[in-house]
Amino acid sequence: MNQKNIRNFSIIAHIDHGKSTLADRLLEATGSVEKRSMENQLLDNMELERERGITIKARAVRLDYKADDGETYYFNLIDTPGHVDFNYEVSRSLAACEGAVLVVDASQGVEAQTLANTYLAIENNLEIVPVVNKIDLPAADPARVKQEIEDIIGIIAEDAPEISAKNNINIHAVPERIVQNVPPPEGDPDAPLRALIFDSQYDSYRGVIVYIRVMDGTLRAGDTVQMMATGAKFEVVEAGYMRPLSLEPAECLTAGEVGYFTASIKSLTDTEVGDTVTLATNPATEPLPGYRKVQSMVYSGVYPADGSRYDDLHDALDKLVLNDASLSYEPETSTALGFGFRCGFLGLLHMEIIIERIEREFNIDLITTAPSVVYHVHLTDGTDQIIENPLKFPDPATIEYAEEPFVKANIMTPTDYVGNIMELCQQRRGVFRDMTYLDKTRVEIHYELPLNEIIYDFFDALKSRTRGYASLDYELLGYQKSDLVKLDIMLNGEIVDALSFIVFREEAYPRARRICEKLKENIPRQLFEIPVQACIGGKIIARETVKAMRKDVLAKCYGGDITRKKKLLEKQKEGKKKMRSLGSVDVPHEAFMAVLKFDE
Amino acid sequence: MNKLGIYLHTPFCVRKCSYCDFYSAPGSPEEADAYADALCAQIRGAKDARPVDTVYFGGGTPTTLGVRNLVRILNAVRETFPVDEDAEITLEANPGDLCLRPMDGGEQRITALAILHAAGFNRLSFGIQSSDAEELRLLGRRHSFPEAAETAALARAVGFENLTLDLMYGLPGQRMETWEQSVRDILSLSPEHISCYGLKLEPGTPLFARESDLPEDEACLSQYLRMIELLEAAGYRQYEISNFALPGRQSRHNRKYWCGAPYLGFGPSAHSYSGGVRWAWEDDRAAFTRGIYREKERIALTARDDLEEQIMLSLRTTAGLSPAVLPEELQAGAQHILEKYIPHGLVRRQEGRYVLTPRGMFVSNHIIGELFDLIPD
Repeated sequence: MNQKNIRNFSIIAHIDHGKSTLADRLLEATGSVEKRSMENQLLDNMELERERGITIKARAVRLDYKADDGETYYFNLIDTPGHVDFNYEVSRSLAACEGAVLVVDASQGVEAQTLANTYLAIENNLEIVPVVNKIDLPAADPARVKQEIEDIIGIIAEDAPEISAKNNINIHAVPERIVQNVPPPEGDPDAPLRALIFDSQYDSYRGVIVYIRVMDGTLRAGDTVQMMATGAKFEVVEAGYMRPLSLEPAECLTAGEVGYFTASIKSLTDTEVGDTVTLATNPATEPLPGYRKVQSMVYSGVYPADGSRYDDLHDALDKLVLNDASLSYEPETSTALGFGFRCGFLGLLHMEIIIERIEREFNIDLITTAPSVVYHVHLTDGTDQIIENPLKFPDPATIEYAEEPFVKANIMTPTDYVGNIMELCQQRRGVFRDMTYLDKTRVEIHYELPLNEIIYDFFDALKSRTRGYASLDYELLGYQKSDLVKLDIMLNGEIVDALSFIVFREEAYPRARRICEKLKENIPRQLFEIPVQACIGGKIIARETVKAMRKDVLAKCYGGDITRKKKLLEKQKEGKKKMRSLGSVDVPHEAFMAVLKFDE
Repeated sequence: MNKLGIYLHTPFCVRKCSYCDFYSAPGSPEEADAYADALCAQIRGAKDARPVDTVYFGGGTPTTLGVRNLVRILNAVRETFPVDEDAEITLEANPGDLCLRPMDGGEQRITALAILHAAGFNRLSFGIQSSDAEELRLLGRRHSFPEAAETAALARAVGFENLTLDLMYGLPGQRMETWEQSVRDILSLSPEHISCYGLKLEPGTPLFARESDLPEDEACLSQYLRMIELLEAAGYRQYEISNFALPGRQSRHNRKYWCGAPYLGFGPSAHSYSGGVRWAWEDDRAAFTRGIYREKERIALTARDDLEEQIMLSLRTTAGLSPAVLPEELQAGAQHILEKYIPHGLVRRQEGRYVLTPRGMFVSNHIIGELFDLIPD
């Protein structure tokens, strides 16, 4: 294959700007998928992705395109996840490309996610091909949006194709522009093999299917490969290209190409995204840059609502982790919730997706505890502890100091909402960094914020204070000292371990009050009063009371009433199933989640 | 206790009370006569011939049928079933005027009451509800308390020795003082039996519009507890959530409902229970009057139904629940639930049985529901 005719590219866009629809159109335009087997947003092939309209896992596909110049080009389209939780995966996918098609909504213009991903692409030295989409919307203003792209991103967008992916307007311009503007890959087919893993997927028949971009050298079936970071060695069973609906075996994959290989690999942990594949016999001296181990940012206790389904939950996690190496879990026991797992996630969206997949694909109702970030605690005896679970927070007397993770948040918003946003960030212990006017009506604000403050409901709060106009992106800055305490919640005098969390001391009082109020609202009245208390150490700092139910009676029950009234009492049972008995108190599942919503 | 109870439904009233969702509507004298004919025919068609020891005329307002019809219907029962000599024969009556058409006025009332007594009716039930004029107006009742008191006295005069009077609490805007006064006024009539019902607003009834004026749960409970205090002090004993009697004067008919005894109902919407089957007649007075007796439902009770009914009905009465009657695998769970509420004053233990206290009765749905939850699906 002629390296000059290869084009490796991604599509980057803000959520809902039409990335997946454009991918569909490209598949059609290259004749890669017959119309009748064309499902909308073919690349997003998980049910959940389809519903949420977001791409959760990167996918790649090879398309053969016959261009206007008469030559056939080999497109490798590498799809990228569109959420800040998956930034690392995005960066590795981009590292596998030479170009990126930047899709911008003709009415919405440039948004935070557009910027974040574009900067990632620029960092990876990608050629940016801007495309203005949705030009057929009534509010479309392609000229303004092009000006924005030039002003804000600083790339020439004057002659960017104006298209509608949804209604198939001017799509042809996109592949032509890719041919002209995206440079072909470079790399020496005879050098020692260096291939970048940008994704992998578990298949129950073949084992792990590793998605790679070959930078240098050549990979063949039968080769023994070595993963440079993990050190694992495997014999390649099959190598080839990803087609939209199948895998196509090939003799070899050579420098510049994107493809897959299988090697009877049992576990995704051996094929980490960002690792470099080389040959065991003639290894490269240096791995490709940019690899880092995936780290969980958010931890939460995950419990089956029905305790007897612990084993099913275990199976579900075992299966999910085959396809998602960024999910981590280990068994955990709670006096309140019984047996479950402490799970680590990349972020809150990742957590929501995993929880929803378990509930939906494995049909297990779950109770999750408050998500927590990872704290660093330095003890007076000189040792350090890493705390992923509030229950393990050490006795305050033994703590020298504690640290929590901070992020740099980048918020883009119309100028009207700057006040609201600053107020919100201030409330969340944000430290203002700077603010840049992108144009007359839009600004970009930078804040340093504790990660803990944004994992719960920051994004929702931001949206509600800006009528949905603001967008958010963040990156981890590191750990900073912080005055932290563990807050415990007691129901009827007993600590409910599943409700404990770590909080900034100054916020402990207001938060304790809100949580007690929330619990009061969410715990149905029972036949006796239930004190709801929040305490730090042994000291109670907030209290509410769930009043006792005084009247629940059917006054009349004669001949004709018995059957009907018995049915009425039976109906209580359905509601009961969604409750968890904590000692003598019945707590509905929602109560555990309700305490997480602070911004009301 | 395996003798039959007979229930006779009268789907007529002079006008609907503002809270009533029972099957009943006004009707002409001709319609009443035709209805009585149909009811007698239905009774005579009964295949069952077990002895009967209670007969209960309920409604609606049975007295709207007129004395002649009431006596005919009772005779139809006697001709069809062997009715015990000392059977309890109850008639629900409007306390103001007895509605004994075409008669009116005191003299006619005496005559009517005397005829009924002579015919064998021996227990009268008056829905007095309240002694407060404003509350009676709100409920849409046609009588005043003095009229009701006079009717009760007349009934005594003609020989009725067993009166039961109804009271209602939890009325929109009702205050503790008017409630206590109603209880004292009712007690002044020295009835043998008192039924006290918490108002439950049914959607579709005129009073439903006043839902927001209902007393708080806590206030209802106070009314309930205060009433029980006053009744107990006067010598009445609670034997069911809403029922109180002087010793030996419990309603024999109503107790059949609560202890699984058989009863047959006649008339539209009337329910029957016998041989593990519960059935009801269609709520269609017009069809019924033409002699069409359609069943609305027929339910063969499962073992689970039996168990649930036993739990529900026994805990609604002061007989209480003995864990020993439950299947062995449920006994420990039931005991755990019931014991849990003893320190909270909702349950008491009495000779191996668990009995709900008045406070417990007032949240009986919750406790019964919890026990239902023990029963595996």
